[in-house]
Amino acid sequence: MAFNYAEYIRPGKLPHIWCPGCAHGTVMKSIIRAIDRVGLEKDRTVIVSGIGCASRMPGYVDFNTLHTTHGRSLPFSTGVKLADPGLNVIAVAGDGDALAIGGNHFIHTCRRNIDITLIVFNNNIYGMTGGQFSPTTPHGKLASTTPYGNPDYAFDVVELAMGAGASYVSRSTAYHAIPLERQIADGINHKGFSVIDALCTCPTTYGRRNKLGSAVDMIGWFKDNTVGIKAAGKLPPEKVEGKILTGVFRKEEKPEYCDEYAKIIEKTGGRS
Amino acid sequence: MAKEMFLAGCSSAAYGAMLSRVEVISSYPIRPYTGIMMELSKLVANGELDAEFVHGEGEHAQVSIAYGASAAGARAYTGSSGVGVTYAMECYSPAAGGRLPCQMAIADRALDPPGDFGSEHTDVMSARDQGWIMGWAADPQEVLDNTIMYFKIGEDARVLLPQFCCQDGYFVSHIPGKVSIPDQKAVDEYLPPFNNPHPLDPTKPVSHGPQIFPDQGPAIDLQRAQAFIDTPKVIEEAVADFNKQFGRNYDPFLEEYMTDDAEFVFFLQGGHARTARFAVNHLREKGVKAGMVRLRFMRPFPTEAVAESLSKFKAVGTIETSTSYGGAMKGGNLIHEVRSALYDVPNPPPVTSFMAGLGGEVVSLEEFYSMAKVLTQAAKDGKVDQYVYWVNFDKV
Ligand SMILES: Cc1ncc(C[n+]2csc(CCOP(=O)(O)OP(=O)(O)O)c2C)c(N)n1
Ligand code: SF4
Repeated sequence: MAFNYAEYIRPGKLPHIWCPGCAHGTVMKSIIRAIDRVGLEKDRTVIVSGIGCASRMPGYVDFNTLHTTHGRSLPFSTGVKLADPGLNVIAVAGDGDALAIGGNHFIHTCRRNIDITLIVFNNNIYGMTGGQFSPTTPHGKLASTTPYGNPDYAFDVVELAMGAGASYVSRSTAYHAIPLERQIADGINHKGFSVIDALCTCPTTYGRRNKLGSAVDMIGWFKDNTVGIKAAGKLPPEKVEGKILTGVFRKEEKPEYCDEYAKIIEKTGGRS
Repeated sequence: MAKEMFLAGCSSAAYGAMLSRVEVISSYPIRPYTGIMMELSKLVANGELDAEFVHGEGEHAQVSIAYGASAAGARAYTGSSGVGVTYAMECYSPAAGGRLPCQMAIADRALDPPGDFGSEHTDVMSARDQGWIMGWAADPQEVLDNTIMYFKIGEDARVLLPQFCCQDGYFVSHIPGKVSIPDQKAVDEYLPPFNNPHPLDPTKPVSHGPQIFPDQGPAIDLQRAQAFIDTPKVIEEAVADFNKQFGRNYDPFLEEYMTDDAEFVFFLQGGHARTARFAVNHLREKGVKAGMVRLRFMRPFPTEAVAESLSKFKAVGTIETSTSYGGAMKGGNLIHEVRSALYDVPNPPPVTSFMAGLGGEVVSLEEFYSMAKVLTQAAKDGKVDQYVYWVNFDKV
């Protein structure tokens, strides 16, 4: 039977603001199915976002939701989680939100290893404000602010998260909606900070300017240009060269922040 | 020769910055300011403007970049809107205290919550006491002119202060109008290159923003306050020179419309003045002696000019377009300044305030007519019944 999204959607909030062909909706559906797969209780689940097209997502889903300020989904999430560590806290953010204005929070939340799952809707651009280059816009690509090519180099979300100490790190794409769903579920189940780099598309402000074809072509591009890390190990180097690696890059048991915090409270005889 | 173009306020600000030969531009997108940075990025990319264009990773970084550039001696230009303006709040006092005359274009926008993109003055009004020159333009022409004039004023050795060059989001920033673009040579004659008296220079090292002891604080604060006391004279000179050089007709501090025989006036800032002029015309047709006074500089607040102007009328109504929650007058900000300016005037007119134009709402003609009723009554009675009226909610 087809998955019943209606149970998780706030009907009064539709239609959504996303452009036709925007992949944010596909990522949202993967998140919903992942939550369903894990079996989270709706009233014990909080979805937190910053500002941007991606960050509109919590408005559409029927959980406790918090639409905050640009770049701050993680500090707000941290506050929620610390106040009630029993809540399931999921943060969503665009690449600009998570890594430019919110970049500082990103690395520190990785370092802290608090039990929050972050899904980065990584479309390589500031969608909402009209296609300015973001920290994940590839070098040389066109944006409204780089009409002759981006002179900056992009962050690799996976490497950044691993370097900063996140204990669960994975990457999938809007084409690989089912593996993405699995990773998100895995991240939710993982105790610690989980970062899922969800590669998606902004046909309106990025695809069109860079002549990447239709919205469907852009999704198809992920199929042809990604390789799972497990498969990559077995393939000859020329088959992996220039491809984006997907899969689970790190899954590591590591003391979680709220637990460590509780231990200190216990040790000093305080009340939690 | 000056040429004419049809520009909205955002593009007009960008052209003003280009004509001012800004050397470093720092940006971060947020509507409606985005229009300014987009136009500038195009001008830079197309080689029309020789400037460094840097995209910050947020407004805090963006204003810090402008600070650094100005400290190194460059003419620096940045800008923002709404929550972007408030996010960078920490940087404003250091730039003013460091006496760095960079310019920040503001296309204003309501603050959150609940996430409203419309025009409202509260964003940068919240920064009005940080030591920046600030004022609103009423149309795209004035945006361009102010951009150039503000650099002239801010960079004057008697002033050395950063500037918020403000325009109403959308109403001015996104509605095109005819703009006369002056000739580059004429602008160069008016605005000489920026000469930072204390630039960061490896051959002659100086310190900017060092830690001080508490007893050194008041003296530095007094210097900044003194700069604001000296600024009005510089504004008068800069505006007079501008009028002469470019054939304009700006009053330095106030635009008065139909005030010669007015019984009461609307007192406001920015683009709503355009509707106010229509409202005044219509009211006049009905025999109501209305007028309008538009403030061109919020900082330095032109106390004497305001006192002189407003003491002529029988009643004054400020149109707030910004909020001061819990303030003395329980509504907006302008009324505080206006009542203070009139305090020492013998028999001052009664002053009330109107909360209108918030969250991007148009201040409609109908609203002006209902405000006119309150002010007609106040002029008759010689007093006002309320400090503040929330237009459309109160008994207005
Ligand atoms: C402090 C602040 N600065 C700027 C903005 C304007 N703004 C809104 S969304 C956005 C970026 C959106 O890009 P991204 O986070 O990549 O998400 P997308 O829209 O692409 O999903 C910006 C800069 C803001 N809301 N707040
Ligand atoms: S602008 Fe881009 S990111 Fe935003 S809804 Fe449209 S396609 Fe999606």
